[in-house]
Amino acid sequence: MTDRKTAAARVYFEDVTEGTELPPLVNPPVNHTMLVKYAGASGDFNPLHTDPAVGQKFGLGGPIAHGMLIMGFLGHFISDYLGGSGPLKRFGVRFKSMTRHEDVITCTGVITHKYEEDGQHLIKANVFATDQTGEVKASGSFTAVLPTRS
Amino acid sequence: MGIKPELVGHTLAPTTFEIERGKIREFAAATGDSNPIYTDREAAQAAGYEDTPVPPTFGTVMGFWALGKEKQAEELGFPMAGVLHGEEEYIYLAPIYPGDKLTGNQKVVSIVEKEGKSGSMQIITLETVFTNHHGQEVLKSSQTIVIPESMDETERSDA
Repeated sequence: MTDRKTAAARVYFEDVTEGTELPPLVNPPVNHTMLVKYAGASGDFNPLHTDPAVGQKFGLGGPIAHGMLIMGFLGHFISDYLGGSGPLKRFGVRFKSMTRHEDVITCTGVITHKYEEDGQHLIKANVFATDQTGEVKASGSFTAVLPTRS
Repeated sequence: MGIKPELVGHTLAPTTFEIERGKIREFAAATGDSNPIYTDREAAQAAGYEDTPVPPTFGTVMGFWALGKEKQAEELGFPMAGVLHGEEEYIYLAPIYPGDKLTGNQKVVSIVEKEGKSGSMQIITLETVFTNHHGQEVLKSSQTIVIPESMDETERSDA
């Protein structure tokens, strides 16, 4: 068994407070190509996401995006803040509503807890993926370890 | 309809999946993430990683490509379509890098019957623990799947 080193975060523990907002991430509008790319990358080939006829048949008015693509946008947003996936301890979301073609998903987040535990410096933040009308598509939270300046 | 309540505690046959560099690159691109740490080993090392790490939600790739929906359908009696994804959670225990051979053990944690706006539904929680080839647990994932009771057999077979 190897003991692997986890990369340091880009932000320091001293630089954040409870209430600090993460820089928002505005994603390009969801389109067919994006859903096809995500299907191939993730292995989720449910035709609800990639075959317009199937989305119509289920009365959804066309294809809907993979929920996990929206969580993927949030993952990208968190990774940008932390300097990669390394500092993450936990990340979870609840899916709230469906995303369709042309929706513009904005990821936002706010630090809710800053604390020390077992010698580690941790933050907990709430995150949201919202469309252009303000409808929340997914919301959740993450916990990450931050380095200290001292 | 739905899956049998006695499957709570059932563990699916373990599956092994090798982490590929190209798959990490493809997944980062598909989520719009152009951070070079996911595509370039030197950039990753400059940022303090041993190699290109996997993005935060890469566990879903292991879920789909390794554990497979077909297996869930076969072993648990899951419908292949019409299920809704309620929640997803990852607990990160150790880094995952290209070349790692991960084994996923997936278990049915709970099955809850619930009355919703559009009829009754089953809410199923699955937990997966991924262990690398050094015997180290690297990732725990938990997902909640909703199976609406109203779904009939024709819908199931078509999509």
